[in-house]
Amino acid sequence: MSERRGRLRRLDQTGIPLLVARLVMGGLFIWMGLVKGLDPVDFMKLIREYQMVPDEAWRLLNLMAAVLPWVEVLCGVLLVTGVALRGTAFMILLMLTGFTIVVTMRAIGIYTAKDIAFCAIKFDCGCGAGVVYICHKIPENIGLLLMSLVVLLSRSRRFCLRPEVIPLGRGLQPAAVPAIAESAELLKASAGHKSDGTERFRRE
Amino acid sequence: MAEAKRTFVEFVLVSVVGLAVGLTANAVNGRGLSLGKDYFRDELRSQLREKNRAQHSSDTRPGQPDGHAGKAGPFDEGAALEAVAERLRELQLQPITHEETVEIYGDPLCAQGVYIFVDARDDELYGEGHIPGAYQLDHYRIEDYIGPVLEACRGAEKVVVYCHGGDCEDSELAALYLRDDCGLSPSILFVNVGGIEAWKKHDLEIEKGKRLSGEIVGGSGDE
Repeated sequence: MSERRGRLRRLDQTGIPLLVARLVMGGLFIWMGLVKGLDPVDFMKLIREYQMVPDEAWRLLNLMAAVLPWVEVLCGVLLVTGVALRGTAFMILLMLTGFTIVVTMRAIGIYTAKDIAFCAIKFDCGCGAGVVYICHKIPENIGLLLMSLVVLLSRSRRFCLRPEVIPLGRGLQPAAVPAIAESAELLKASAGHKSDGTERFRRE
Repeated sequence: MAEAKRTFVEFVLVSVVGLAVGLTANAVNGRGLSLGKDYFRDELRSQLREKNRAQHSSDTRPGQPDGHAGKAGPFDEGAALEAVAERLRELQLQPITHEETVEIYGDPLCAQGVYIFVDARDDELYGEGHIPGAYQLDHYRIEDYIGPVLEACRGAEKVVVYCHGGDCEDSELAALYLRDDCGLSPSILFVNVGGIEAWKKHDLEIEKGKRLSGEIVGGSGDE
């Protein structure tokens, strides 16, 4: 068990799984976000079919249709460039979980209303890829969810522009991040040199 | 714990930046949405629903059947189209069948522009094929189309609006716009429930490309 874990850690340290997950998800999110964002009317019509928003809250529907595709594009760009990785991965995890639930619920609704096999159900889910079979869509989403977990849990930060954008706060342990620990050591050392210098000056 | 906190703060940051990017991109995009526009006339629908509910509860006596139950409609295409027709009647629009639409199309007054057709679909679908001579009115981008449509409607005695057919709402939304926002008389406004789907199913002639492009195909049907 620990040997397996060690192998996984070594694989993670190469940065390859993280890079693959970032590029696949990032590329997909940029492409699908652009398809929807450049023509938001079609996307608005599609998300209305899910009946998630009551009729009276049509402003919320407009806002969702206008903003969601560009949030996807932004997440895609952040993943590809390797910026704010964990926050972005968490965001994608939440979005994908929501999308998967509503798509599955809609498919179940169609399944109960029409007398057809579950895997024969196909519709335009509003994902940006047009009409899809539900039995393709659900595994695809699960795959993407797993990839977002890879990004969220990976310790590697190779091939990333700026994986963490939030500096560590007072309550955070510097030892948890080697770079911060090193900086802390350097600061301590330079402070020591300064005091030595002052002492020497006074003596002189 | 510290990592979780940082992840959450990053998540909030990405959400805020995403919202800002989304709003900006939508504002810059020429095909962006108007956030304050009730595209699906949901307010009107809920008002009418409330009104109908109130009317229905005062009309229906205990022990008496529902007023609509057992009502036979003229839409032989199926119960789904009858449901669409019922929805249109609730919006105080006049639904018409495919046969009635064909009859209007065959009338000499149609060629004179006294009876006109309005296609409520988008550019791509309109270009793929529409009823010959039909004006395009994509109500989601109304300002791009309304000029010539309104001009034609003012001199018309019958205006037939259609879209894909079936559950498609575009025709009723375009009709509502013509009636409520442009002041077109409800008596001359009709919504074809079968839509272009029924038209094509009967292999009637369709015009491809722009209006009056002359590229007519089909036409061996039951006109």
